[in-house]
Amino acid sequence: MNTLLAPTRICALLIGLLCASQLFAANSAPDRDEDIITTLVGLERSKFSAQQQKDTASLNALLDEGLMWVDQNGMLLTKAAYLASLHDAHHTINKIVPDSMTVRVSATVAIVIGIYDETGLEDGHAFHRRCRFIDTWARKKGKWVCVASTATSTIS
Amino acid sequence: MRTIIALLILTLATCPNQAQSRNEAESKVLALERLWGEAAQFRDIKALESLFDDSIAYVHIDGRLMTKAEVLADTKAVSAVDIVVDSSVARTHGNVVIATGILHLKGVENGKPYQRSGRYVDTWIARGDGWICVSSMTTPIKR
Repeated sequence: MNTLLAPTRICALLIGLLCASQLFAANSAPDRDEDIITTLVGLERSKFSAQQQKDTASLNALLDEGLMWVDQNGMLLTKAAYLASLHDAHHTINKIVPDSMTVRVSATVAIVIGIYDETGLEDGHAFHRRCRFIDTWARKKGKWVCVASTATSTIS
Repeated sequence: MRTIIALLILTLATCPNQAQSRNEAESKVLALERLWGEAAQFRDIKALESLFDDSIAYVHIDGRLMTKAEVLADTKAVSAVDIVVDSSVARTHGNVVIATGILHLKGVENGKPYQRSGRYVDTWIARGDGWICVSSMTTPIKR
């Protein structure tokens, strides 16, 4: 049991450290865009890792309470509905990894555009899809939180 | 019609936002979203140009990742499209407003009529004395 929980705990600890470093940075010199980009790429990787592990505690820290989440089917979900969907028995993610990301920073908002690769099971059938995503992060009380996330499996 | 749209956008996009309440900011962004739909339908390029940030990240309903110049050129080139927006909502996060809604498109492509629906999510930021869209993605709705 402890072995199963270990990756989740490590992930939660890393996200906690990342959040703490964000708060520390908020009280020191203003961040350069390059530092913000590095932070956000790290937060995105943590977000995908937490999704794969169904780590709701870590996602809870990364996602804003007022989050708007749009899945690849065009369905709009609140934060609570999205976190609950991770435990939906009809849809299981085996692997979800970003393979490219671009970050655009504008003061207290950052836009991350990228593509992720996802495999899993849906209603008992294996699936593999590549989705383009756009995440919007806002800086609140010295901490970056994801306020909107949208994806599409239509890539041309 | 194009002049009216352009004037409305100019008025809404440049109202001072410093003292705006959360509701005011959301109402203004939703009004800009409606004008965006009208400007796209009437292919009013000048009006659209004023709504988009120069480095907007735009993902079309057909999956294309486009620059501002490409969006404007595409709007100019396509044949008439009937655009209806519903279920739109907006949420403020400081100087950022996220707007979402459902887009229904009807038109003719390569001589064949089509009908598409998608969920859009747009990010607007307060800049200077107005609001500007920095990202937009429309995801086709699968039933």
